[in-house]
Amino acid sequence: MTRLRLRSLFVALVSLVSLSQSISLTGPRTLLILEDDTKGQFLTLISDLEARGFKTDILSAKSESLSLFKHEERVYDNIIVFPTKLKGLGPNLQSSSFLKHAANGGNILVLLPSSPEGTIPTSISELATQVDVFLPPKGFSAVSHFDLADPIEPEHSTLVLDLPKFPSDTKNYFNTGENPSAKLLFQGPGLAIGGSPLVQPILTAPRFAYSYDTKEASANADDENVFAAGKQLVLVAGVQTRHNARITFVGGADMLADKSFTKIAKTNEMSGNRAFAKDVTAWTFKETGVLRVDMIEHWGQEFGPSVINGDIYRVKHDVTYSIALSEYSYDHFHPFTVPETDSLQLEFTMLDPYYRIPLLSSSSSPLTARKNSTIYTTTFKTPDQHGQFTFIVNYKRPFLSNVHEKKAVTVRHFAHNEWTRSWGISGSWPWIAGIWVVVVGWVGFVAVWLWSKPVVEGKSGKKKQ
Amino acid sequence: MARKNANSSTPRPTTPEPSSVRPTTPNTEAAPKSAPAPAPSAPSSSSIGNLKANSSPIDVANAIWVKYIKETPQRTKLIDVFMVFLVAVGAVQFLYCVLAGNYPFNAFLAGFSATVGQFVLTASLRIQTNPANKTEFSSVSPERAFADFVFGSLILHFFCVNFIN
Repeated sequence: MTRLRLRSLFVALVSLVSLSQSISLTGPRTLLILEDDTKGQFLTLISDLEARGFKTDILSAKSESLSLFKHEERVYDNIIVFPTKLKGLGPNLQSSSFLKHAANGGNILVLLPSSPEGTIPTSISELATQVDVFLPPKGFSAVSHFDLADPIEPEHSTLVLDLPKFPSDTKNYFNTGENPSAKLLFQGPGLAIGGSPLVQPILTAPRFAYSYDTKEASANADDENVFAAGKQLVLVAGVQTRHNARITFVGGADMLADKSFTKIAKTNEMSGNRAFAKDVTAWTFKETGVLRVDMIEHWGQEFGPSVINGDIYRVKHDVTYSIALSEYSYDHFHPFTVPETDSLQLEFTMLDPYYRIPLLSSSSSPLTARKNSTIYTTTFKTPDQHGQFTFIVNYKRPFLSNVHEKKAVTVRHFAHNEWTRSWGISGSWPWIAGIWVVVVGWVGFVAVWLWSKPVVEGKSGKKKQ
Repeated sequence: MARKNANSSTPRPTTPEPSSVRPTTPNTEAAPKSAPAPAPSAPSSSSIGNLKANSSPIDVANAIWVKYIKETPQRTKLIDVFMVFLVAVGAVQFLYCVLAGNYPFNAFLAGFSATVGQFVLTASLRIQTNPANKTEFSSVSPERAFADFVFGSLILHFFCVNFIN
């Protein structure tokens, strides 16, 4: 009994330690651009971040010591831009500074003001435009008249939403809360996103919701005053740059504010906002959805597994390619599993892919067994084409960091002494037999000829004489 | 050629002469119209026997066969047998190629060209050693022709065996 209790205490301690060690892959240094008057609204969010190991640094946009770069190095790993009443964020927080921060691998979480009166600083709307996210002008608000969060609220501007759902081939990092059927509260103008593949909607509005200009059409909204509607009205959008820096826009800051971490009047249940806030910050700050390539091995039939990752292969011979992938989750890497309806593929390319074949997970690689990664393997026959080929694993999926692994190898043709000999091909046996029949027949002919010659000569000689 | 033929006493007194006006026996089959032409060709027809001007094709073929058996030297007959054998082997190989495909194409080429090449070499041996052509190849003795034949054949076999790999 005591032992059991001790053990549970120990487990709790260990989990506590690991919890405090849990850390973003980018780094813990987090800048919160937050004015003092709004600070009180986000206490839970900030304390949750600090509990996960982020070192927060709360600065006002007006602060003179605020700089994103020092000696051309990032000062912060992550930035959260909270809503502010300022029209501009100052010379240190231009949109180019944010982009430079992202270009250097830093992550940014932008919270847009929830109330129609809130202003969006110029540098933030510029940043949004540059990553193909479009913010509505001042005065817009999303409403839904059919699914009211609070019956007594006259504007219907608080939306009640289900947790994000994605197609089955996309991993969902945004419903990891304890209650999968929890509802989310949202208040704000929302966003629209462009067609860039780098931008993914995380949370979209329900079908009957729309975002309209509250000042122009307070009574009824017409076409000209609607910014976006239905699924096209995006409430939370995530951008992942080509080198995996993440920029997330939340279309209404109240979603992550303390006042949304409450019971929903309609269902009388706790909202899922707190868990969702954790998921969104975790994804943005690279605690989830980060893939790592642990190992790549390829070997050919010619030398077998004794020559790993060799540079030269032969046409029409089996080649085995393995890649080990692991995925980061808060504080550790664990084996990455591809969603069932998705496929990790290997390309064998010379200008064009000669092969694009699925890599299948094998429980044990023939070469090395690995604890914290899944090994995906395939075996294929090199095409009958010699040249410089490239093994490519190009796995770019929403919310997952990009995997783009290339390795160029030579595929040589057969050496002159590697071809099958004629007698090895059964089809050629009749012709081989033909040659030898001719040769043997010829030998017989010569023999008979030599034997018969004197008779003829004798005859003709006799006649002549 | 006709003059030379007439002068020399060869074992074959009759040779098909395209220049000769008088039809020789083999020609009668092909040209029955020329048969009514003056037929007092005593020297040519005498050795064959009696073949009428309007005899049936079977009779003509028989006559050719009999003449061939009778008047062809044994060496030439031997050559002919060998050439028929080569044609048969070549035909079988070609038939196999048509039916089963030409997959190791070099094997087909080697096997088939072995028969063709051997056939050509044997044909030239036949021309050079035929006593009827003695005047044509006065500088080439039959022994020399046979030596050339053996040399050429060995080279041919060597090439074919190499080419089939």
